[in-house]
Amino acid sequence: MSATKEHLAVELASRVVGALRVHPRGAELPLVVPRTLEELVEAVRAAHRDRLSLVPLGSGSKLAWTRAPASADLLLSVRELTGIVAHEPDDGTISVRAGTTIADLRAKARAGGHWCTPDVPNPSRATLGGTLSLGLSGADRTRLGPVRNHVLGMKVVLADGAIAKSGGRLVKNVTGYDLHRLYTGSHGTLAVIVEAALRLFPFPESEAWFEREHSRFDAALATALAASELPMRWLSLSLARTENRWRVRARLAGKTAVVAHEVGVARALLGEPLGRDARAAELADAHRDADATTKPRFARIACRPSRIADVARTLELERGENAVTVEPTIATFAVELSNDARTVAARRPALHALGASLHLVAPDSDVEPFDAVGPELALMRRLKDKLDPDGTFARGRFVGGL
Amino acid sequence: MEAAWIAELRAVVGERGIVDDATRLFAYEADGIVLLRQRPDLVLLPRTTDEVSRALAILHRERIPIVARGAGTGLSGGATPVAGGVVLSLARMRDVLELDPVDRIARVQAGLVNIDLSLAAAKHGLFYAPDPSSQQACTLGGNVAENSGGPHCFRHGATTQHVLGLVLVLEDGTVLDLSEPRVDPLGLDLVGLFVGSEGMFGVATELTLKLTKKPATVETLLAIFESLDAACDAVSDLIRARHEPSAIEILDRLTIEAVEASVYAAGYPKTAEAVLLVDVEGSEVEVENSVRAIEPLIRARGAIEVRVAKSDYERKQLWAGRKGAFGAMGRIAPDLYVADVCVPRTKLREVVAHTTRIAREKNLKLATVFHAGDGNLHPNIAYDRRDADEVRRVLEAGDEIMHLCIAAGGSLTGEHGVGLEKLPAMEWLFTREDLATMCRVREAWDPDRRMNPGKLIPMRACLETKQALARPEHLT
Ligand SMILES: Cc1cc2nc3c(=O)[nH]c(=O)nc-3n(C[C@H](O)[C@H](O)[C@H](O)COP(=O)(O)OP(=O)(O)OC[C@H]3O[C@@H](n4cnc5c(N)ncnc54)[C@H](O)[C@@H]3O)c2cc1C
Repeated sequence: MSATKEHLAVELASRVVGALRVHPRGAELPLVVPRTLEELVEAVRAAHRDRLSLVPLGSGSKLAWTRAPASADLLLSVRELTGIVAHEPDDGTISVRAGTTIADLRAKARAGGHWCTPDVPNPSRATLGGTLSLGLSGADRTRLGPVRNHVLGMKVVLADGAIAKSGGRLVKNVTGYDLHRLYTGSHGTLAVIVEAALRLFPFPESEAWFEREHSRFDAALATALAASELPMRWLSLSLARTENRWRVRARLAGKTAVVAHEVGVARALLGEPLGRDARAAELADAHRDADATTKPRFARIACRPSRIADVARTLELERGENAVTVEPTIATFAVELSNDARTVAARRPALHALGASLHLVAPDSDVEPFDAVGPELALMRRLKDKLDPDGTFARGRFVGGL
Repeated sequence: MEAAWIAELRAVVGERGIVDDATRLFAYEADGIVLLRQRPDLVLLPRTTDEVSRALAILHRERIPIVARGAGTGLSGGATPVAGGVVLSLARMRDVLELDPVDRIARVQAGLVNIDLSLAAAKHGLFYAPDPSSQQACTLGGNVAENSGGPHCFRHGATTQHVLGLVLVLEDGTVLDLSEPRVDPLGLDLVGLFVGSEGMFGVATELTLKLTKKPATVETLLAIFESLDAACDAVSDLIRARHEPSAIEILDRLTIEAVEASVYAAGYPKTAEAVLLVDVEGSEVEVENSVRAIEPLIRARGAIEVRVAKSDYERKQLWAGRKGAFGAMGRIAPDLYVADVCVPRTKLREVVAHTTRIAREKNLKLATVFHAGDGNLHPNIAYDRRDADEVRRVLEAGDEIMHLCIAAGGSLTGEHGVGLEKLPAMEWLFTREDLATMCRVREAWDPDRRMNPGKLIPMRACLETKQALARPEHLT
């Protein structure tokens, strides 16, 4: 055992609760799970002092979404920092510790009469900290927009163990820089998110779930786009390939009288709803938990809405049988990868020519997961160097080696 | 003889792009906060990103501080020049570069006035949602720098939710083209971080903005109250009952009087202690349903009348009154101190009442008009800047109001920014570590802190980071 590792063992032994791989093909690293914020600060400080590098994580379910780090000594999970810090149902805000699962968060919000975004797959596993670190939005993005719009403030632990906050718990606030925007989607390269405040939305009184089947992608896309033009605000709207059929799936949610009326309007295009209210929610949850982003390996593609058909052609979506989920109003694709990561990566130039972006989740180790970043990479590196000059948060996992 | 660098700048922006005579420089001494004044040495008015880039490269070499300026309507001293510095005005950069009705995006130069974008988008049935009351004058670049709000941001979200891309020029002249709208950022969210950075990270020269489809139906409700407390309670009730109108605004008696005596006269009853203005938008059924649910709630709090605007004309009148409120208050006194603070929506009545008490104790005239649905208060104090004692009392009241809001779980500013005005108050809300972190982020963008220096972050916090960085813990 090297001297540093020994030190680590002495310092953190009580909190090391196992080992995890940072990448499917990577080595196992010790997993530190602090039980309190103080313990977490202490662990980060120890790592900083001893020049160890660590990978912050939530439950660890999405480690493969980034690259393997250039080098790392330990993993640090926030999963035991759970619970509500403040919940103000009458103000529509909630503030929770980062290890809280999305399921617990949403249940708490619901008890106060609210819907909490993001509605991500497998919410009983996903932690809020991990979700925000990846900047993941959910199926409800169709109506509510990206999750980053609803983060009101954050508390983070920086590389030297200092605790810093930004924003607050207010639905409107411009005091200081929006550093929580910077941390959201930063993939744990800048700080450990330990607490976040979110804006809440009214929990729907009533719901309806529609599905319409097509044999061809183009026809399904046309239906989905027609649905998006109907006079209603879909909570979610997607099209997915399952069992070789393309299915448009749409979820209405809102006030009872309004949903009742909207069901009547949507019927002509989408038929009878497959489920109402509780049944609609069940169907929505089931499909969310099985969509293409839940596969072990997949590609995420995003473009301008007007380019969806072109991108679908470039990806040759009509061929193949793999799982695909498309959100037409947001213009994102999730495409399951089998052994074709290289083929998809080879389409990168064609996708870029269409203004589209490509991110491969867990591709083969010789395939680059992220698109190349332009000259702004220098600025991203300066941000990294300012906030984490010693590389306490393992480098090499994110774009441009950040 | 003119300094060589000024001649160089003149060559970049042209004769009409430079202001250096005292009489014209006077117009750039202050923004909307007239109490804070500083004459700049020079004002530049470039026309393109390239000109901005070349000008900044020269200023970088000469180590001259820069303050970007839109329309100068800011209300926190954000655009107040710094001594020995140059003001870079975006006023001549007001082109719409691209308007794509299919993808619903617009690319514009940063000096475009807010309302002009909605006007340009109108023929496609689209509009730009953030609608600061100053939208007839303020620039979209200024909106981006302040992350501005407006009445309808209650539903549509503040500026940051509508910015999809930016072209930025950094302090040394480097151009970053982040204009392609992205569903999610590639790498760190530089665009999201830039919004609300108050001119301290660089100059935004081009903006890619989201356009919104015009709602099928809009209804405007005007509720008349005999007390401001009751109007505040009605708003808290609306939020508690999870209603989602598109705007919820309150005007108090003094504001109503001022508006009704001005060109913005909207037909608000002059005897009312407060009026509540609520917009509801969406599909016809949605709107009908909301109005039916909201009305009784408002009445239950003692509204003596609830009126639904009968025509588009009446609707516009009601809103023109609200948006003209600050301007109208020019009639009450020569100067107006516009405070801008936020509180949780459960605390509206308590905090608003307390601000009234503070003003009374200090013998000041307070008029309140605010984005109630967002908990964003504007206690406005009328004063005369020639009266030194009154000015002192106004500033004291401003400080007390901020303390009051912090104690209620609120913040220093909801939309006008920290700027110069609220600089000292940052230390009341944030810890040393919080501020030092902001300072480090700022230095990643602008290592010498030459962009809008002396704003937002109290100097002390930055000096402390410098020292901390010079003596890392593991070396001591
Ligand atoms: C009557 C009145 C009503 C108002 N109502 C509202 C309201 O409802 N909501 C609201 O949010 N605000 C409101 N304001 C405040 C003000 O209008 C906004 O802050 C507005 O966004 C400022 O825009 P501007 O173009 O005037 O910017 P300026 O005042 O010129 O500048 C503001 C700040 O932005 C920086 N800046 C400007 N342009 C750029 C650029 N291109 N790149 C980088 N930095 C830049 C400046 O350095 C400065 O720090 C109101 C002001 C007035 C006078």
